[in-house]
Amino acid sequence: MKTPRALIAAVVAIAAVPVSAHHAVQAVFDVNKPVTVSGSITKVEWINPHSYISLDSKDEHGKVQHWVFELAGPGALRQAGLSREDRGGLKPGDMVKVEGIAAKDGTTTGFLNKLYFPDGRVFVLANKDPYAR
Amino acid sequence: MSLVALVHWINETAFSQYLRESELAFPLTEAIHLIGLGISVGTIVWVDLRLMGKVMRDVRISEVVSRLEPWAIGGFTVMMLSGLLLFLGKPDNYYSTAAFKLKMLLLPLAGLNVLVFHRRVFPNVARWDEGVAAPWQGRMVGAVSMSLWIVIIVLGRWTAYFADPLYRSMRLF
Repeated sequence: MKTPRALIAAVVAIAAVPVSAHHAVQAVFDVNKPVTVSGSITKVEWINPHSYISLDSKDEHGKVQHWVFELAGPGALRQAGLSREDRGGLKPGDMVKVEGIAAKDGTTTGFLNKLYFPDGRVFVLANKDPYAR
Repeated sequence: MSLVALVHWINETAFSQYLRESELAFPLTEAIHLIGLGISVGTIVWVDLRLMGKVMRDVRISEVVSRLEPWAIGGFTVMMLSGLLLFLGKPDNYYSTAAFKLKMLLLPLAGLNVLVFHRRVFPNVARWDEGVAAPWQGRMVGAVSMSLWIVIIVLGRWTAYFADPLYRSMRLF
């Protein structure tokens, strides 16, 4: 019979997809590759299930590198004290420092864990996932 | 205006932005989509299995169809409307995935399958209504329907999982 085989294949396929509510951060980012980037914000996106902050950072040779950081979703950001209404006060042109972990693929992308505002405020947005290191 | 441009135009509307940023609207829409899916596909499979002679063999096929079909249609309506809202929330992201495009190709095929069933197969139901299974055309409709829905559901998960920009490198296709 064709169908039971298709069913088994589907069950295997579904089981193979990580069953987190959204994606597993560890699948794309390397927990052993901490990264710190300072730069000027180019884009702020408060999106479900993950938000994004893009920034332009100058490397030691003065060359501009474009970084994209993924961070917690709108709910977790609100709990951390960053409101959706004003994007936590972040806007393009603002200088910030971010700490996170870099992508495994070596691109200038990462997952943001800590956000430093120029006025001294610091937001810890580390993943509260008990399996996260 | 190209399709990509149209999708991007939708992405930049205030409504789209509201949907993807809302703490409530987005997860609620996702939940409603799954409830619609549960009710529609959850009833469709019983019709499919009955046609294939796998379940409820002592119940007339026409009775299984007439009792479950309204739920399948109602659930599908909920699923389609909530799915449209989900798409409107993150059109750029979803449209960038092959899984989403493939899903949008398979959905009309599932509809066509239903059309074939009602135009070509079901009108003769009186001849095999009390049979263990439908004739091959009916069994085929059941098998095609189940296979399509299984693939469509997997593609739906795939779309949501890999739609976000930083996860594109992880896509298998």
